[in-house]
Amino acid sequence: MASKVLVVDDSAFMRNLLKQLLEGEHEVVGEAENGVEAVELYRELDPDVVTMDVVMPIRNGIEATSEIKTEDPGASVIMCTSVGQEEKMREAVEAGADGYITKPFQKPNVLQAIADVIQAEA
Amino acid sequence: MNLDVRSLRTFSRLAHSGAEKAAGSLTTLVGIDTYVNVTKVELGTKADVESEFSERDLVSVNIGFNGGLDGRTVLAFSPESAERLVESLMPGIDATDADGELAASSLKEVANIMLGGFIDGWADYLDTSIDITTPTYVAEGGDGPLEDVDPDGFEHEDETERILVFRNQLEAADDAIGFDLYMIPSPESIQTIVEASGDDGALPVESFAAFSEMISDGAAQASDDISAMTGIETDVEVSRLSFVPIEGVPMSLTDAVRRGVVLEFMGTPSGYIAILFDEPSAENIASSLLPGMEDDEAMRQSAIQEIGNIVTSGFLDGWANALETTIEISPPKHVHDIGSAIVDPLATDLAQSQEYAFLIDSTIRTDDDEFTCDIYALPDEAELRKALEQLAPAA
Repeated sequence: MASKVLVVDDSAFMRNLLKQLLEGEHEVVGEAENGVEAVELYRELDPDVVTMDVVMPIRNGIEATSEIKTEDPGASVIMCTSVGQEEKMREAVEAGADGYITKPFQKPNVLQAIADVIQAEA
Repeated sequence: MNLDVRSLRTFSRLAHSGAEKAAGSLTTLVGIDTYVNVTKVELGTKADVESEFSERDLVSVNIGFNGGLDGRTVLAFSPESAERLVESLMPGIDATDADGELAASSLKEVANIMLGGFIDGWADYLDTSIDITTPTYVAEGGDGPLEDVDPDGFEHEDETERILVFRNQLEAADDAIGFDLYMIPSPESIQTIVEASGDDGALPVESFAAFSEMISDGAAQASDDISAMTGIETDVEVSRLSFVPIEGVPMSLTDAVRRGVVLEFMGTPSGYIAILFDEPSAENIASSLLPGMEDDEAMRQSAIQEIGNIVTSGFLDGWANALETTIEISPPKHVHDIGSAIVDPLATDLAQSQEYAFLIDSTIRTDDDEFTCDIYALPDEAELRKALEQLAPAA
């Protein structure tokens, strides 16, 4: 079943790539390029899943995830990161991330990560 | 064997002073004003040094040294520089015949005088006697400069063994002739030099070697990420750790135009990293990531920034995990300028707190050289020392 996805990444290229990967599988309802926009769009669009970049200007993905999770503990957030550091992963989990995928993305991994968080929510 | 930042400073100054003597010898010999451009202390592998020689088609003269110190010195020039030098030494002979006996003989004599002066400086500092062997000329495309050449007995058979290389770039005042002067001491001789520098808080050289291996692993991860993202099969060609006076950092980079990203990293260590592509490679990357979007320059720039971001993470994650710490990275800043100009402001910033810099450089490329990516990292010197201390117990 198609889910509503909010894509958050400061890179226009990565947002475009994610939209292409999700095309025909899920509906991208919005795009944000920093953590502040992500929180605002989350409130406005109420997506099923958020794909959240970690390193972004203005407010990073871990801070934005923490705020979204505080407002809506049932939110599903997948961290999309090029950072493979164990400490950073722990920080993301503590902020409430439900899963993560590592850049560079492979389509099956992205779809599986979304399926996993949707299933866990159900 | 132990090394320390203080020893490295001593090494660097000594090597620079020796290179200035060598430059002075050449000026006296042929009347060409020559100066030392940059002096580096590099930790790399024998394969890295050999690869540089083969890539640049260098002509070299090798001289072994033994006694108070053991090892090898190499004076290397491009074939064009060798021709110009022969012309200056022996006007009227066929300088294009730089591989000929007379030309080789003149180059050997130049090397004998220059390298002899260089080694004399070390002998004076160590208050010892160092003998040098007769010079061996290695033509363009010949055996590598570190091959075992009789009779100096220099042996570094393992291609992956980490070796310490003192490297000086010299140039004639009119830029017509350029040289590289290498000195590769044996491990025992490095210990001799460290002891002479009176270094108390030195770290095991193995911790430098462990860090150097982390750099190689990081570069391999970055290469894998580029291949996974673009479909372009790449390999790590060179990966090395250099210790260089801060003002020499920009001179270590090319004057050709590069495009890529610069990021700041924060943690232990903090510093700057630049991921630079030559222009055709940057275009190849953008085209492979965004087929059919040749006219969307903003999106192509975004793609290059993102791959720089991913390469940086691949490069630094291994360090963070090995050091059991977190290294934060800033969002990538797009850069498009000559290589030295890109790195100049980064070095200037670090120069506020340090006189010398550790310069980490790795080159990732395809077999056919159609794609090249250079990674330069400039960690804060004091913080890198802390990181090296952390690696020391495991060494």
